[in-house]
Amino acid sequence: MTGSMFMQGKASAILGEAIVRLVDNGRVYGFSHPPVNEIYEYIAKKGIFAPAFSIKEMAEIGLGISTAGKRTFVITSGTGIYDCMEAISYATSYEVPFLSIHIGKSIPGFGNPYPYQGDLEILKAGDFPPIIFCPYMVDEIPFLLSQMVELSERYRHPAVFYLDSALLNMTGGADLNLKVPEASWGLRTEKRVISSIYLEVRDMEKRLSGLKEKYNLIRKEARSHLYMMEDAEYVVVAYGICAYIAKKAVDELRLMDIKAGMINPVILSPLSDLNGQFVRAKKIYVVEMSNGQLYRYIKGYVGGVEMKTYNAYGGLIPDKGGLIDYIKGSL
Amino acid sequence: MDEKRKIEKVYGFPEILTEKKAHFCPGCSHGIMTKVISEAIGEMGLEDSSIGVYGAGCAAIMYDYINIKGVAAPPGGAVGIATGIKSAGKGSLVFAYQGEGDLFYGLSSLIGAGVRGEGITIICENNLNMGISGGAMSPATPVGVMTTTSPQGRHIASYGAPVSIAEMLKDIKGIKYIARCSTHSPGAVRKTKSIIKKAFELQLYGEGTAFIEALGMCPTNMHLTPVEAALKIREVYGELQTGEIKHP
Ligand code: SF4
Repeated sequence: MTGSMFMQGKASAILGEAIVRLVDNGRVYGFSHPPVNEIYEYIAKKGIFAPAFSIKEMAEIGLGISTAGKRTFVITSGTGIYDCMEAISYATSYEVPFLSIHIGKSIPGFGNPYPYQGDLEILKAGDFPPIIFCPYMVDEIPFLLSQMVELSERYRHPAVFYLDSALLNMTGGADLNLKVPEASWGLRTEKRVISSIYLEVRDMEKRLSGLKEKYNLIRKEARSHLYMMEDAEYVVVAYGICAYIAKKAVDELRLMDIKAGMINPVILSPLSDLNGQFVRAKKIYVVEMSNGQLYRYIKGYVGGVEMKTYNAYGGLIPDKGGLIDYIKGSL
Repeated sequence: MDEKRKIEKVYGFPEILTEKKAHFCPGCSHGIMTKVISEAIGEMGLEDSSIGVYGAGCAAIMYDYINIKGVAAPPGGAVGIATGIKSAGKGSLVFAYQGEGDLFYGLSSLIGAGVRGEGITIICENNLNMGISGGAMSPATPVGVMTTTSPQGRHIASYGAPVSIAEMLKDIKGIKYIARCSTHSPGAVRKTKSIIKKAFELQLYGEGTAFIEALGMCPTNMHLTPVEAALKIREVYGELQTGEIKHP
């Protein structure tokens, strides 16, 4: 569904409308639970929701729809994504897109519905992890989601739109004129069989080299948003709501004549090549809502530059004032 | 008096059955079901519109033998995948084919499809054990039967009582058709084919979900000859309600 529409409101509604427009008369099967219930409520009002009886069933149906060559989404939060991992793995092997929207909430276990970024290392694990998109503000949600759809369908590879629950509850405004080029895959093509079984080891080896080649092409699509990085000496690395806060902190630090800048990976996995981004850096600050997952992820790129971590846990969000004080105190 | 002799073909190799050598063990009912499903699709002229979704297990690569579009599902995922495929294209005939162990693994998908009345056909080949695992006990393994995980024979105190799959699903309103059949004898195989054709027909008429429990032999894991395995299934078959259990 295309056509210009500017929408002002909560991220859950904006995301819901983006889903409605992108599935275009299709269906989204889901299992409603907080904090994703608001997305489901929105798409149910628009008539595209069908109830699944478990997250595993939702993931399988999503995989089935995609295998048939149609677009749909699966929506999870917290540990719910674990029940989708099998479908993600099969979609990788089937070479069909698999579009997942995952809301990061406080874990392990049930935890609470408040924001956390504890899923990064799980989502990006394996030989051919899904493409992970990560918005940092409400306004870019529909546009980035459509970009993710395009990449997932072009490469016939699973993708995850990873959004923390803080962003989901924020308000903003976004254009919902979403255009994604037509693509065909799965049973809609001439392919007769969709299978992930390769009993001959040589066949499996060939299969994996094919996926490897494709994944190298996907790597080239990786991108990060660089903010005031031209002369930055104090570099903040962050994604999601943390990047939203970090960007404001960078603005204020600049007003204090501190050469701060920010790297915000728009695609978290595969990560864009950050080599060369830290040559002028004196210190790097990783701001995240986890126990150092982003810190460990980018460590390999920073050379000998001193790295510091500024985290929040348990559903708390890093505080802008606190971050500014922390950076100033460590200069 | 000259009489023109009429030649009528009464039997032949099903056209969509490929010539690929099947990997099933001798006497395995998956082989029989492969042929029966191929015949049903061929006789109904549904070769171009049928999609088979095969569950994890010994029959996972059935797509190699039935020349229609096919998908090898994740463990327990055949019904979910079939639901998704049907939801994406109502015009196709979509069936899920699973062993009973795999069916139980994906029980929430089976119940979900049934409750929503998804227009798919679910064929569960119940051979009383999980063949691919080397013969582990399945929820349907009868009391007393020895498997790799019930080496002293299934007894209720430790393993619980076996589940009657077809009966378990009877109260789900969206499942409009339930039948139990078998492959233990030529007569039973013929009945199985009619049941499959009826279920496919109901799908074409949009009559909700259809569920078929086809009892069958796994001689290898039953440690029996094919004939002995068939006799064992006949014994089990005799103890359960058979034929059409529920119809619209
Ligand atoms: S192990 Fe049993 S179910 Fe599997 S192919 Fe052999 S006989 Fe058939």
